Amino acid sequence: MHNMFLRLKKLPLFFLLGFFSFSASSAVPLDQPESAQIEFSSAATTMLLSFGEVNPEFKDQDRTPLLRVYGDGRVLVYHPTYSKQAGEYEMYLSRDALSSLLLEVATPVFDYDQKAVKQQKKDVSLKRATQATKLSEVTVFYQSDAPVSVFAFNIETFKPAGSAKQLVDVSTTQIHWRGLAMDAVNFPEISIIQDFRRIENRLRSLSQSKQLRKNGNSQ
Amino acid sequence: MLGCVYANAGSFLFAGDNNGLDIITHPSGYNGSGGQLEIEVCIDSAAVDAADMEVSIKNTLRELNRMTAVSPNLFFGNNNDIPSGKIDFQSLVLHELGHCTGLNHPNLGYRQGVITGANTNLTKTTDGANDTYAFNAGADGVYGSGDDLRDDDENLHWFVKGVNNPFVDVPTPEASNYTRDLAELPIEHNFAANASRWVGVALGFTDTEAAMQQGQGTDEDQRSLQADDVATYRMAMTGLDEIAGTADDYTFNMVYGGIKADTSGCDIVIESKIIGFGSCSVHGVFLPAVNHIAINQATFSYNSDLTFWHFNQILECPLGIENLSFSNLTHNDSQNHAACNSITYGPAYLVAAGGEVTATAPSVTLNSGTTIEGVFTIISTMP
Repeated sequence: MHNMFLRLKKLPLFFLLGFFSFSASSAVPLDQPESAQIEFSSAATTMLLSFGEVNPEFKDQDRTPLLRVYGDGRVLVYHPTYSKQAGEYEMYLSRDALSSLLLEVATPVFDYDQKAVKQQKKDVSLKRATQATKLSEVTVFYQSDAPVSVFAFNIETFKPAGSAKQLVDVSTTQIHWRGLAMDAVNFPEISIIQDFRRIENRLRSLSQSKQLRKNGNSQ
Repeated sequence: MLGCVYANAGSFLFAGDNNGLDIITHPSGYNGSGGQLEIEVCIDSAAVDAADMEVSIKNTLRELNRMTAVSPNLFFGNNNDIPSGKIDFQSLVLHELGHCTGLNHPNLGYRQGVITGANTNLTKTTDGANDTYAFNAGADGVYGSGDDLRDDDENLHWFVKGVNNPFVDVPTPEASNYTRDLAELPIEHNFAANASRWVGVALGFTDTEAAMQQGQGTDEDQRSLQADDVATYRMAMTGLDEIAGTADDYTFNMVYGGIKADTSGCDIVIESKIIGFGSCSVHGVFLPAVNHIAINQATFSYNSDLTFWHFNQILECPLGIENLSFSNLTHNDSQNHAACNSITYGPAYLVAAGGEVTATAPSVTLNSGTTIEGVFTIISTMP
């Protein structure tokens, strides 16, 4: 197991509008400082990562997260009673796999700035509007009652690849992103949006892993 | 427009800080020219519950075509046919097709971490220059009522000048009498009221709520439009000039296009997914008039992975005939006339001696100039 230690500044994390591009990085030893590095609790009771969805139109929704990942590598997936897959499922990730997953998720979060992403979207929209030769070419889009993707992270330290910047004590942070899927379709040129969509797809894919066993049965 | 109920109008998709507060959004096919729009709604054949949802879709299209406000329009428990713990798919369809044809929520709605609980029932607004929503239900404690205090939040809910009741009839909505401007509220009113069920109770209308109000629960039948919904549509139908009775006015006819593998020609497509609950994704374009957008693509998605959907299987108008009329005509044989809404006779209609006519409809009218010499039977019910 590799040790990954880097003291990093606390990172403000907002995920409502951003989509990050990043490539998964594996944990590497300290003698390769250019690689991304991460430190996290290995306690079984520490939740490192969670993902879920809130649907505003649905009054009586069970808002338990779909996916929770803990320090010992345990992955807990929950489907509410009204789902065709109702029940709890779990599996375990190895330390390396857990590190890889967290690095994959943490890297885009590192530089996230909600206001900056909001401005990027406005800038792109304005650019498209100014490039139009007539009013009818200006397209707007909207998703009513769009699901809200909710991410939560709890990472102790993180240093992205090739960066001298360090983050320390990255406390639990929630990020809410309304209409992430539609943003990804409509803003292909904004890398942060695409990155977050990839994170979401990654986590949804994990929640459907064939290694999962119902009611806590281990593989 | 006899029989139509006008009230405060709600709010429109795309209206807000980005596109403009006065945006009015029109359904697919509207380009500024008046007339009747044909809006085709199709079910993607890949949708998991395609066959089961057909009745709900047909009934909802009929409801939208009727464009008539209903009060009460909320039915619970023994007053509906929805099994306990189930969510009515037809009610979801009405709400989401409202979005697909240009309407937005009249209330703020839920926003994770920002707008929750009772605050979701406050009237639709921006968050104002201070980028912070003001949550204050006023002295009456009813969220979304006329005494709410909303600081600099900019109102997006249309209402009749001098009238702030989204539950009652008012004259034809158009720019001369409909506004978002809070300065046009009745004296002592602070903010535009929306048609939530709780505002309805406060104003004397029980179990009545705008179909476009965000938030659907189990065991709720909300399959009919309310006055606020109808008024919002009527306002849009005044066209680009926002004046009723001019050449750019339109109506629409929702048409069921069937279950199709190729939905490319459909104006609204219904599909299933395994995420979310229900939503409508729309694309629109600006029309050649300030503050007007027309939808050019709409997709209603629902989560087919959920087990609580109740798919209504009772078709409201199996005949497919809404209205019949007979004039300048003589019947001297046996005739059976049936319609789901109304049948009118005359002028110059004769049931001759030896003729026998049976008319079955909720409403049967014999206008002047109708003569009965034979047998004429009226059955005032849905056929």
